[in-house]
Amino acid sequence: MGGFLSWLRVQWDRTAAVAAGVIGLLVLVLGWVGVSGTPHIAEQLPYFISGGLIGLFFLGMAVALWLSADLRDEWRELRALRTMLAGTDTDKAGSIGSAR
Amino acid sequence: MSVSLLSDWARREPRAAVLGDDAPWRAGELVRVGVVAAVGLIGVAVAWYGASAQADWPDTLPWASLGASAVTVAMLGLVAWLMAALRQVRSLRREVMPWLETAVSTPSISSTVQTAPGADFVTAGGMTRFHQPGCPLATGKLVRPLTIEEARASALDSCGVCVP
Repeated sequence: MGGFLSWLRVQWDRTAAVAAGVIGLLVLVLGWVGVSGTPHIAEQLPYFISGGLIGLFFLGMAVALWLSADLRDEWRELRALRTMLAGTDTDKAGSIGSAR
Repeated sequence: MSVSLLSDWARREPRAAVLGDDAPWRAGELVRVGVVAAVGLIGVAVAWYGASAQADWPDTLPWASLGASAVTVAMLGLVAWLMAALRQVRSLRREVMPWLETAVSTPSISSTVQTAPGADFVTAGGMTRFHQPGCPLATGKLVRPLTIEEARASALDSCGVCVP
């Protein structure tokens, strides 16, 4: 359990992405239920706004968080690689350091 | 410092904390994205509140437009954040790759590369990617050989550094 919580804490962005995706789908379904429950357009549009648009927002957030997590992992690996290469050659270390 | 020791260090390094991390995951960036997302959500809430108070559907259309605009603003904020992250990663990649190519061709490093004779690619326990036998990211690790067929059939991704 402690390991799982630790994993959730480390992978906060992927956890949030999954949560946002689930919320988005749930809101979309609720919006669809609301829209299908009334024949009047004036009553359907609030469901479209609350269900459709908010669901879309959460799904977009899920995608953004997941892509951000992938980018951040790549950033971390590249940064570790840069540190590793800087340690193998002092000349390179100076050049790399001055490049930042 | 030997490459194997550095590889072990890189493997042990914990995933960096959210706040205080390098750009674009610094606290300021995250707060900015959070504010834009909150503005979008508030806009949708206002649109929903306005639309639900109207009895005729033509009167609800402006509110629906407001909601769509609010979501668009929030999405653009998220996209801008992702684009900033992508630019940072590309910048770092451009910085590292020339040094990596030089380092791979340096005899002092090449001599420490642990190759697997006869293998098309290699991977190791805990890795999510497969590498060329001489890839620095596989150096010093207890690798196992992979054929092309095994690599294609596996769920492993290809390494972005040695590009097998």
